[in-house]
Amino acid sequence: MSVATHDDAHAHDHHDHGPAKGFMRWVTTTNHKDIGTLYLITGLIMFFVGGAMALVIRAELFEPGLQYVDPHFFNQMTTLHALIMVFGAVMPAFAGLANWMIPMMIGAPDMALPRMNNWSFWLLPFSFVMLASTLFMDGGAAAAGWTLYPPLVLQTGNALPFTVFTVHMLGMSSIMAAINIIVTVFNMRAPGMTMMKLPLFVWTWVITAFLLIAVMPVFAGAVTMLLTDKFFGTSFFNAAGGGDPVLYQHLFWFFGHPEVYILILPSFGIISSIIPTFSRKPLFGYASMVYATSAIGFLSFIVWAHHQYTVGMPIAGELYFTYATMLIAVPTGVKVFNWLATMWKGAMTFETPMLFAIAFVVLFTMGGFTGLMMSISPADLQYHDTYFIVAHFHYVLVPGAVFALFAAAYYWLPKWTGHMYDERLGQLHFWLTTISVNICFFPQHFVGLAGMPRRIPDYAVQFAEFNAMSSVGAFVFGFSQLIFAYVIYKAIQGGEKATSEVWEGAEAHGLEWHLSSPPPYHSWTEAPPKEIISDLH
Amino acid sequence: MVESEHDAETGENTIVLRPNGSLSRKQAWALLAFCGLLMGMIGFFSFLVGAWLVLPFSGLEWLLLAYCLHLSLRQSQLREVITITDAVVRIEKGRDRPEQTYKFQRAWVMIDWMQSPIRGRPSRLALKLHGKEVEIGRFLVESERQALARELKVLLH
Repeated sequence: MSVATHDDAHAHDHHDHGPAKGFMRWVTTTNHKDIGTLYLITGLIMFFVGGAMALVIRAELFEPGLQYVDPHFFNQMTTLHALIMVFGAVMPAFAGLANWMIPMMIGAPDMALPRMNNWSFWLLPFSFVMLASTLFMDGGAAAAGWTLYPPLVLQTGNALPFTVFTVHMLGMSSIMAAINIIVTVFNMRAPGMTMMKLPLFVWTWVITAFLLIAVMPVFAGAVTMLLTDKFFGTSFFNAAGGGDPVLYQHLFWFFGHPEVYILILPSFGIISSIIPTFSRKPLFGYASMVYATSAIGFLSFIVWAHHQYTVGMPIAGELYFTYATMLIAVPTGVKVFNWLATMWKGAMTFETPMLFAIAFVVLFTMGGFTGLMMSISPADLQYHDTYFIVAHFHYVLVPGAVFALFAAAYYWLPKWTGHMYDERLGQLHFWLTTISVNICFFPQHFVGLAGMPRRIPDYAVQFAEFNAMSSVGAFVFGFSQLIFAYVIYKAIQGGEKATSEVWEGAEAHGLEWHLSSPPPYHSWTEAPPKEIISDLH
Repeated sequence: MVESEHDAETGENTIVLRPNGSLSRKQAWALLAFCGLLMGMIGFFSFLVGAWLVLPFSGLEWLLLAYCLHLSLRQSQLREVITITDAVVRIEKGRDRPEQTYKFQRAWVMIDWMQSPIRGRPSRLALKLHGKEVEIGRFLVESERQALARELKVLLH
């Protein structure tokens, strides 16, 4: 017997050296980091596209009367802005973070199904091009709001089947991403990485993935029924044919309410990663965070009709949905308490990710409180379809989901690029964003309570001042995001080298900090040592 | 993962190689059952209220989940069994049963270990004789493959 050892004699036999070169690298890649990057860049581009639509809306609402766009186009903008922000910006950005971080966090070399991962990303750009193309079709884009309620949405011109097909493609993409995450987390964890050792970001994404696969078929079925009502003579939602338009509302919100949690649960995971790092303490109450997230996931299935108090449901139904909705405050309160307890007496520092995380806790909690107000059905009759609702969900989704994404980008950018970002510009971005987001959305509570309806391009003069403030805030917010794009560009180009740990003491908080910055093209070709996993907070 | 066994009576050494997989078949069935129950209930109640078109989407999605789990589990069910007797080295590869079997004369078999020219890339371990070469432990992580190479060197010496 003899032993032969080579260094490179058969190197050409290896098929997995590193990234291919050029454009085709990105088309054919099955690498989780490449696909994560594609998702994140798509999310950022769509954030600017959807943001530009928001600025059209706010420009029109800057003063009473009709200035720039006609009401039909205004409604197309509100519809596309929402669809793009939800399905084009926030969801792909979270999917990008999941792709980048989950294999690194659980000690896996890649996602479980890399080819499906590639496909689930590449459905997105085609979907968005198709959705944007509906603006140029006969009759314009869908203008019934992101809820696509019939019978209004059935008045859409040629754009309806394209909008529905877009929704199907986006749904397929989300389902494949969710299945990939479930299979990866359940079957590809490193030895020693038990479920109760998983970082909170992974836990929140697992629960999000279950929500996605549970509710996506409902939305797919509902929009398909819209299509058959319009083109195949069915009457699912047509009262004249024995159907019921309220059925669509039930179906939509059975999907739509968990969808809101799909947008916010990964944010909870991000914040639960960042606060311990910058407080230099372990996360307070890890197990209770896992149970609270699971409880929120469960409750999200049984509260949908609080979006529909005004359809005339029985009083018992209103009572049930009121109480069930209020229950969500309990696990959410557990989370907020745990974040505060983690910061309590911590050796805190306030780098940009931490600033966004703290702003998230404060402003998301405000959005949560207005949600509690709306859970009370008699009170909601006043708020329904007013700007109070717009203020509420923007507080939850902008200083909520979007701030968490900013925090995540600043937190992990040095890990991804190998360079520290420009802290001075990061802080400038934070302060401009936080101040302007409040100028934009806080006054909307007042105009909403006073009765200003949503999705209308004109309003009574009594709302003029608050609307002007809101529009100024929106424009400052929008243009501040150019700083964010520049900070990312600058970090990719170069800058101070980041260590593998990046943040002081971060190694104790996650496996990703044990890889180099930037990490190797294939993460964890060697399983992380069990001692590292058992030492994680 | 590498598990070694020595039979004192026959003098045979057996090494079983398997990839890391954190999900057992039983757990996979439980996961599928949970998802099936959840999605089935949602689809069924939608059917009851007249929205029967939800049901086929739920069914298709469950099938896709099942297929993806099957693919991933199939990968983690790979096994390689290396049996070393006085005369031969036998390598059996397969999942539930040996699907490929290779035999080498113990006295002449060579261990071929190649490090990748790129830092951080996996090495390659093979047994070879007379131009016939069989790669082993492709699915192992680097430290396990190195330990296996060392163990084989001792056993075949």
